[in-house]
Amino acid sequence: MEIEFRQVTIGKFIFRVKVGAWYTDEGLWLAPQAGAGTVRVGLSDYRQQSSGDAAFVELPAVGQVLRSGDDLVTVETVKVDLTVTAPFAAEVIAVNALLADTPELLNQDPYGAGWLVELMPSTWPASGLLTADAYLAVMTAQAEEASR
Amino acid sequence: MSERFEAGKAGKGRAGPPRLCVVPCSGIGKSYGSVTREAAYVVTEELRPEATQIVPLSLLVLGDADAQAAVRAAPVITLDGCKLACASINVRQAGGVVAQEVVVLDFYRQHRDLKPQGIAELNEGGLALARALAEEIAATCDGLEAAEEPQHA
Repeated sequence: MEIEFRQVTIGKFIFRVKVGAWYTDEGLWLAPQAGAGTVRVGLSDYRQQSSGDAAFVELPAVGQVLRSGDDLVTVETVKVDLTVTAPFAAEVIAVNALLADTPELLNQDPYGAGWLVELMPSTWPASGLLTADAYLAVMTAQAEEASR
Repeated sequence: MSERFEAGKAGKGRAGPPRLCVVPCSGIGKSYGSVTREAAYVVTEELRPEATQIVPLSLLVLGDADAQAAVRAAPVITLDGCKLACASINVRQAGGVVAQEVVVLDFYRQHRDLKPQGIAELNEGGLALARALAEEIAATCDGLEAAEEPQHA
């Protein structure tokens, strides 16, 4: 099945938003995994582009139980040291081990092979999440503000 | 032939022409680009001054005839500061042969303790990373030169 995207061009940059995923306004995408009850989490295209090329990604331990707002993943890029926090209370079910040796996947394929972790949320749907269209509007405003 | 770049003739104070060109990133505003330039200076001015010369990427981008002639006349080691790989791309577009491509982010991944910061002035980690990179480039130069030496029976 072909993946559908929304996209916006700001200056020389094109940012894509995957349709069908949920988003946080901080640029995490969340994709419920059919039948598993888990949610796969990654960085949005805008978040990865604005953060720069990833040098190192540090992932949590599988089985770790997190509260909303706890540190989830740290990403060191050529521009920033980024700490991604848990968008809701959850247990870590799986991590993308490929990122240890190939952190560039996070930049090359943010909605696919560059996923970060898979979580089992304590409640779902979580509150405060955005649809792709709603996130596109939020992200566009963020990108325009950053480009000024 | 260029007075700025020595392509195919003996240079001032040299026994012969530079046998290798080093083309670092010309990007301004990122620590990783600064690391490539610092490493290029260490190689060409300190570690292998007889064998190497810097060719500025900015001149290749501008189509400077002397710079183009220099990269066509000798194998080139490119030092790219990011995945756009401007140095490698522009050397090839100028007709040069890239003998070794180095992407500094890949090199940094092998030296995590040497985190580069700063731009006009690199921090201690950045300078140490540049030094380590320069030493690796010098070893690459030696390998390239050994490979080009005539084989005797």
